[in-house]
Amino acid sequence: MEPLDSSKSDSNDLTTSHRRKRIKLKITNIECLISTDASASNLVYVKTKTDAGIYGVGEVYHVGPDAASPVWVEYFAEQLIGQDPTEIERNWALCYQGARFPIGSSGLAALSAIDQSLWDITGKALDKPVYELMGGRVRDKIRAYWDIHGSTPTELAEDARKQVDKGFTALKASPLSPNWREMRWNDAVADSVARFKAVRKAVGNDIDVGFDAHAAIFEPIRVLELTDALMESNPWFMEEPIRMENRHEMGQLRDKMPCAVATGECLYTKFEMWELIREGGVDILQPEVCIVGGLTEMRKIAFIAQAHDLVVAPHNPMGPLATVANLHFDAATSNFLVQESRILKPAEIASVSKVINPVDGYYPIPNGPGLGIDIVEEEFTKHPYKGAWHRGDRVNPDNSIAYI
Amino acid sequence: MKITDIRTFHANDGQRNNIFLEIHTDEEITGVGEAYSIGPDRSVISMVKEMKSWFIGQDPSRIEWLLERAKNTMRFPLGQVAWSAISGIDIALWDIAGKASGVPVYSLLGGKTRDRVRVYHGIYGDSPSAVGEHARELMSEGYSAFKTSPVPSNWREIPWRQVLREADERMSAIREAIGDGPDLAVDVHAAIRETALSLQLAQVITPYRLMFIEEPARAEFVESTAALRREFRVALATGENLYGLQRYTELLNADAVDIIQPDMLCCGGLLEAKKIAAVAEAHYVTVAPHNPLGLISTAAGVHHAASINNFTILEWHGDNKKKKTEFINESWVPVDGYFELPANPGIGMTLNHDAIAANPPAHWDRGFAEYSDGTPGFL
Repeated sequence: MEPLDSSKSDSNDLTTSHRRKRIKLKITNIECLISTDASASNLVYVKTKTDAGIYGVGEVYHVGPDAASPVWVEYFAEQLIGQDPTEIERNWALCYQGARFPIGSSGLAALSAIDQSLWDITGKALDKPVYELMGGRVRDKIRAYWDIHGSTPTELAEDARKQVDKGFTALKASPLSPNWREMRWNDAVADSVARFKAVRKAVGNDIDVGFDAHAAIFEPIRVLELTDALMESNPWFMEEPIRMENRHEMGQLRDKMPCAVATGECLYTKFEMWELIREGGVDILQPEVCIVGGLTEMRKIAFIAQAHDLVVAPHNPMGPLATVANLHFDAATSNFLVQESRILKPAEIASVSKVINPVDGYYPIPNGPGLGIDIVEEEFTKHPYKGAWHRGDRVNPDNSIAYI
Repeated sequence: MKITDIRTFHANDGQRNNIFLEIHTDEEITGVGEAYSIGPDRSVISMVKEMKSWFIGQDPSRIEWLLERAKNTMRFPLGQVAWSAISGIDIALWDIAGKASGVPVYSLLGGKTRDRVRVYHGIYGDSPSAVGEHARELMSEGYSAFKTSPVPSNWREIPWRQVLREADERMSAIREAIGDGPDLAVDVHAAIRETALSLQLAQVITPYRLMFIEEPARAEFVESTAALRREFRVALATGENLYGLQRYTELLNADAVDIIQPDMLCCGGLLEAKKIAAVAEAHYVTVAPHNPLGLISTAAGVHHAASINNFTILEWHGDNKKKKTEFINESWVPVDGYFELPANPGIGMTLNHDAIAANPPAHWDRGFAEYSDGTPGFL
């Protein structure tokens, strides 16, 4: 077992550099930590250990049936134990290509977290922040948008004002009232218009406000009607205007959309993102680092986006570890637009060594080495997993099942 | 760490010129790079000199920032001169990053995806017997993959039916020499104007079970290349003279290619190549880097190949037997048709300044190709 060997030389080593530092690490174990918080939501992390004592951390997307994730982590660990953790791209392929069938949400969530942990290990082994392994930082700070909420126009406007007072210049909200499914469509649209008139009145016209329809509207034409009606509020983008499965329809819709289309949080890997781009279905890509395939896949998606003059605004409803992973990506990516941010729950804050919050609307560049964040394992012992997380059901007035 | 200087070096290798550069820092680390020798080489050297002030005083670890900034400030689309300069600088910056971390460059580009890098060797000769003989010689050196021109050098001056017959004879002689197993590629070198004739040639040589046919049309003629690929029953490889992510993406999105061939010395460098490879991967396209120049180019190709998932094979001209091997201090020789991965920090090569100084650059151009009636051709 040779951890960081700075003295040994190989037969083909022709340098005398005093900096010579061969990485010789082996993965010894990958643990999956899972806990349930007071609100019945789950936190799922991985910790990848090496024979050198260096370990890496990553966050698994909590997809709902979260008990599946530790099983996937264990399955991938069986293949990765003994491998060099710094061979990130190869390890990714080992897991992904070894699966034969396309991996779905729980498997990719596990792979995404493991991938993050490998970037963390590599950064720690080289004593560099992860963004320096990605070509270095291209910016000095990272713009964030904040999700605002409110069941009435007044509540929503108040939240918007509050966030702008904190320094945010970018906000995002649902375009629809929480009970829009029970309303007649034209009433729902009129209500949306009223919500955003209130927001604009509260924050003025200079703040960027994006809308998230959250793939809840089934008919593309209704989204177009809604967006047309909202144009007087100057939307920044309309996110997930329709469901994500049919990339062709997304392309058809975007052709007619009067504002930018943001989408992609539910897509898996560069292959599905490329399909979306090829169909002309997106202006702003929103890959999810905890499900798309980790930082390795985020990078490739950003490259494909850059080739098509598209920008990336990472999705991030996960915990503080996912946030830090995103921040390293954001720091290094030329065609990054803005980072999603939100208020962290107490259990999420307690689960890590430190949290990074936006200040005056911007996150700072994260520190290394590696991702620069650690897991507080006791929190996972204190709050064991209690079962799957359920989003709840949404039904239409006739009791048929709605999208959520 | 801060960049303190960028120095260029220009040397004649007996056939053409090699352009090297060194990026110096305020620490003990110096990065080495190579830019493409396009012919008017002094323009590339001038370009590096013009760009120098954009880099001096900056942190060399901010590779993406430095290069995007340089590309963006030039405003107009970059051509062969600027892309070559940018590529050479990129390679030297990665060399610095690797040396600063004490690891080979591929360890900073996602880590190694393979243990060794396969190469193909060029087969040369003007007659079927000459190519057959050269192929046999290379087989005995352990190579198992080859590339050759399908046509004799005077093909523009002889009737097309004769070109097709001689192409068939050349391929037949090579297959006879090497057998059915070894991989054999063919390089048309974008010299045939008419896609219909290029297709005829491809149909004549396809039965020889080819690894790929390279540049059956000029790569920037995306429509012609795509039209040929629709007809091909053999892999189409192209792209050595495309620059930057966007041009490769255009080619890939047009479904025009099976194998892309970026040159590390003009495609934009290692970071750009990594981006190009990612787009190719999403198209199920593999990467076979172009590599005719100096040995820093070979090193960059090996690091790139080691760091991407969709690499297939690297070009290699047996440069260990040529004068250009004197320009670097380290000796890299493929064994049994493969390069072992370098283990030393950075790119793994340093310049021999004395040898470079002893071989000053000479004027080099490609000459002119002409058809029998004097019409300029492509070469």
